[in-house]
Amino acid sequence: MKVAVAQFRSKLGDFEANLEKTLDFCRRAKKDGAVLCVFPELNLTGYNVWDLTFEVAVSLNSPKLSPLLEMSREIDLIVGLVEESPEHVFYNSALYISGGKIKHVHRKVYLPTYGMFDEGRFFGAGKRVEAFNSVLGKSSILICEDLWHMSTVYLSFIQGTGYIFALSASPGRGYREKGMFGNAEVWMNMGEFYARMTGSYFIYANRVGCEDGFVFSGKSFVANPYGELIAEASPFEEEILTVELNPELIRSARINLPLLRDEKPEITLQNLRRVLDEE
Amino acid sequence: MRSKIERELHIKDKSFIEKALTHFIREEVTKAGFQKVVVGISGGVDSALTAFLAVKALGKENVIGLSMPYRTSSKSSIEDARLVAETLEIEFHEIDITPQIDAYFRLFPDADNVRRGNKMARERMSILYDFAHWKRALVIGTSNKSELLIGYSTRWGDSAHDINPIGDLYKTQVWEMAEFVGVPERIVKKKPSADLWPGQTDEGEIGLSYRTLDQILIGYVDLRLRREELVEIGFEPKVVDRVLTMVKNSQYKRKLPIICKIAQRTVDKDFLYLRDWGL
Repeated sequence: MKVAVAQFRSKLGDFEANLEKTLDFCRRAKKDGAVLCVFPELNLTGYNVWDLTFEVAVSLNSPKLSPLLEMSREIDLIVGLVEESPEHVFYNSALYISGGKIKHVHRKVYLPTYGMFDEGRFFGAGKRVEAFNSVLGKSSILICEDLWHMSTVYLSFIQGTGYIFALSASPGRGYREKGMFGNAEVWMNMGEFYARMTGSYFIYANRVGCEDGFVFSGKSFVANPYGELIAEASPFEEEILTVELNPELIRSARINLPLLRDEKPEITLQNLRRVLDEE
Repeated sequence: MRSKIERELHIKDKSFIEKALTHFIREEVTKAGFQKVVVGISGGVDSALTAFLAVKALGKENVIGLSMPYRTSSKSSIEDARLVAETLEIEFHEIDITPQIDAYFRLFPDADNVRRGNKMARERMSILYDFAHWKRALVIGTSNKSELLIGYSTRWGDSAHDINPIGDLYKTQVWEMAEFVGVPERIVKKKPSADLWPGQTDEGEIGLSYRTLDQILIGYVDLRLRREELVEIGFEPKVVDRVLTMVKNSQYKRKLPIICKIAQRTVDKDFLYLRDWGL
């Protein structure tokens, strides 16, 4: 089955324009034979929304999402947006939409609030890392900073996820690498490592374009369950990576390296309890 | 640590950074609804690099160079500004600012160099913005990171512009990049000078070499080393103090005017939107 990774440039705070382009990318992905199109973090709103958070947010039953639900009858999609909960808490969320319905929501758990990041000022933090069944199989969605905390990947892993969708809007920084920003290289290292250690596909969708001089670092990629990079996008341009994924490779990797079989989550849990109790 | 600092200043893949900077220029100019930029060309390396990047980003037909000498400006500055424009084959205007500067200082014949220099820098800014309106262009800035951090600029003079592609490059990195993009060697190699009065040199006025200055700055700013740590790795305490004092005392130059808060939301404080709002 083919998955499409949409390396996307958003218009900051313009939901309608981003929605139009999202639909257009979906049509192109469908034409390429993909069954699922994955977009970056907050692709429907832009990343540095700040006070726009409260203006671009949508609730999950909003008619604004209807065109995406319609599109999902043709091709499944994962999109990023600002979700307003019924209690009026605002989340940096990603939706898996399929067959006309929102099938899964991941609310970003770790909100970076340091250096150039200020998410904790505007967003509420999600509390769940939950695997779900996508058209490809058991899957997890994680958003940017989530992935810098190994625990979110571990939680995905012990739920048996075979496809980790990593959505990000990573501003480029670091000029000590070749052909990409330093952070893009770290993402690749992380993707290769996590893919291998979990025996899963790691599907990384990142933003391109600028927001007030933040140049998003692109280089979206897919790593297979052996930790090999099988596709990578350019550093600056919008594009769709269409990649054939083979579920047999997950099986193969997990036979050769049976980490999931041998994993002992109860020991992790016991030790976590002990550590927390001792605090 | 000292060698880390030296390594940290070195740009490994200059071609990639050139692409990042030109993408930034192209995107920030075009999405704001412009095609052209105007750039003040002094004959120095900062404005030469900026002009070269602008031409690579927008094409030579979209870059307008302005040389604005005063009667005491050095001949070589004027010639080097011409050389940049000729090399790039851009629209070029040479405007002698002597009449308006002299007319003003006839009222204050005893004015010192700093007053005169500031007045010239602001006169140049005023001309750049007049051209920007006339030519439907943005003003592209030429302040490097070293001078921004120590405040070696005239407030609302050379520090005033719309976008700045080189503001995150230390002076020593400007030299590296300028050489790489093909700025004529004699401009890269000459002693940096604001040329606001005869014989003025940056390093003379700042009181230390750019190499030392940049190492202290990158240690303090990018690596967040403390004063004691900088001294420990071999920088002279007096020099470190001098640099850190310049950084602190010039913070006002890096900020917009501050507003007295009396209401719920205040424009400079909690009215938080990027400039690229809706772009």
